[in-house]
Amino acid sequence: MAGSGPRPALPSPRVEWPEGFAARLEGFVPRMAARRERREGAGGSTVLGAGEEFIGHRPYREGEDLRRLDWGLLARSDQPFVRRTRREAAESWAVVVDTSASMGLGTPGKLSAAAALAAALATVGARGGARVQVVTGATPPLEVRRGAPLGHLLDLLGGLAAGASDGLRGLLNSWRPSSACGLVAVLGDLVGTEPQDLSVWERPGRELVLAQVLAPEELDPPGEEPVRWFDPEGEEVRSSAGEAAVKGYERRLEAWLERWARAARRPGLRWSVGSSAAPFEDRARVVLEGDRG
Amino acid sequence: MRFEQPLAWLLLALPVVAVLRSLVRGAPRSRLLATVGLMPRAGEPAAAAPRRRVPLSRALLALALVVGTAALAEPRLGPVSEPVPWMVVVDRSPSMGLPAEGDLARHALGLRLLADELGRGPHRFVAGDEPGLEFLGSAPPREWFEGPPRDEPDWGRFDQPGTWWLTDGAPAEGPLRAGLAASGGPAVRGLVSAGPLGALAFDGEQLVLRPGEARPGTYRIEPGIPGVLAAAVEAWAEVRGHEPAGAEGAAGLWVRAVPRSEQAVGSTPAEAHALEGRGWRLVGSGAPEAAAGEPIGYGEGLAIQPGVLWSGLAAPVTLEGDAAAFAVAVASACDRSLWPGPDVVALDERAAAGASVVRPGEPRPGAETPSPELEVPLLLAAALLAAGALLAARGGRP
Repeated sequence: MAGSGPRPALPSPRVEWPEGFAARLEGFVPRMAARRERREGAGGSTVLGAGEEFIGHRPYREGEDLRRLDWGLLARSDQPFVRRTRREAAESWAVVVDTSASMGLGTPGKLSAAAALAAALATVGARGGARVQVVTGATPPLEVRRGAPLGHLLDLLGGLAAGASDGLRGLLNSWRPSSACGLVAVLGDLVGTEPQDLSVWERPGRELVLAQVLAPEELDPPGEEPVRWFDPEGEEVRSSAGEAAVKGYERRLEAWLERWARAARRPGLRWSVGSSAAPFEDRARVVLEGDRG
Repeated sequence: MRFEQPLAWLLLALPVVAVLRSLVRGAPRSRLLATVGLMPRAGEPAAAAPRRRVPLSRALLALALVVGTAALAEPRLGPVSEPVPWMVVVDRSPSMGLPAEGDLARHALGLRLLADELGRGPHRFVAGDEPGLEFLGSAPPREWFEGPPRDEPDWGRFDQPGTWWLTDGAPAEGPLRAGLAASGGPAVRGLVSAGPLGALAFDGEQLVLRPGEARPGTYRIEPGIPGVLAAAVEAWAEVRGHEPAGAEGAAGLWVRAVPRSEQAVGSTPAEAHALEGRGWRLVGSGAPEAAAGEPIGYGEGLAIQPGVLWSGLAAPVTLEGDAAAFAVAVASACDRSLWPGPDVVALDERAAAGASVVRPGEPRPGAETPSPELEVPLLLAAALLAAGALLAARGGRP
């Protein structure tokens, strides 16, 4: 149906932090960092300097160079571990935040949820020794290191606005993670993106973690009342009235999400989906520990 | 099956209104959706309405509502029968016209008590002194309590289910099966008799003679009355000092001929009939018609009622025997029948009637007794259905 009537404004175009966000973040980060340390294996050595100095072990990731596998530990424990070096301890992460217009939807907004999640991931990563690059497409990337003031990060993320960039599609064309980047976390609704589009950011030994954030009404649109739906980034307008249209939408949404779930079975790629109303702690735990959402 | 409270079905209008309101869709709202591409276009198969299935929980809830409403409507099994009106036996004795409270007459207060108990009817009012006289309505005509005095009903005849007694003072005995609406009332002062020589009044405690309130009676003789009878009545009136009434208006004594039936009219005119008294004989050519009222002792052809002397013997007649004895008999009948007026009420009628009494009797024969057997199971079923609906809704079953 041709578009008629006014296009509504974005309901949540700016970042609004969850209630008590700073305090919750300060409580969450040390707990999460400690859990990561326990999961990746205790390194008894102290970090003394840069280079290939051995500082401990971590679980083997699919696709990694088998030469880094600790065969002796495998024989003793029957578990695949790789030797963790000083260089690796100071690994590089990238946290990519989608700032396209569609991220301004939802209550709370998807952009707010992505920003909160990005703050949590970056802070946990920096506390674990990683150099974390926060990439938004709308602002120059911000590098976060251990001990860096949290305020810079929150200022950057809190100033984001939906529609300020082309979002993920633009970044896929314009930005590449460094070769040392061991983890790329993509936070967005992934609308207009297919799993194969992200292959440009994949490489052996790197984890590509996709944290898909959808608005509550995108996951469960209202069934009975007639609604004229507008595409926030295009001209598409469609109408729904009654359960039939909504059921059809839900079937297609399910199929679309199933494609992402199937794609996430390939090595080095993880995917989870959640509502923008979900607590950032829960989403961060899923992203960092590999549990499915 | 019928329903005692059919208006209860109106409760079903509430969910109907709710459903209708939900069917009236307003203008579509405009909203943004990032995944709008997943929404089926109009006309796409995905947008086609699937076969509508009523959710089990809603179906159970609707059924519970219908069953519950049916219970509230008080269903009754059995054939529909017309309601039998109450029979109200009305005491028309003079005391019923006396005041009970202020200016309110005893009959009016009694009717009010009856209406409070039975509603406005219609009821079947029966004149207790004249059972053939009936009236169906909310109250008997006003004329029932006017005119010459009437006797109190023979209450024993009317002590039966579905019947009420409407009177002023509760009878000494009964009723056992009938209901009772007695207005009660205080003793009422006033005249208890009046005549050409003076009046006798009740002052609340005793009788007082009032010679100055002489009141001659009035009489009227109807055409067709045998001449000898009319002459005797006129002689009685002259001696007593009574006066003839005009052609119109009330008369204290009305000498009337009994209307003749066709059978009596067609009887053999040559046949002689007679009325006999002590020392006299009245012979007529026609068959005497039975006169209504109290016979005065010499056959059915002459009878008295308050204010009326009935003659059943058609003119011409011949008086045989002692004419004086005949005149005395007629005078005695006239004395007893003469009605001095509505303000003259016998002393026993003026006595206090006590307090108001309302005492229900046995129900009307054929009146339906409430049968709650249907309501209880229906309410139980409604509760079970509602519980089932709740369980189905919680279980997420469609």
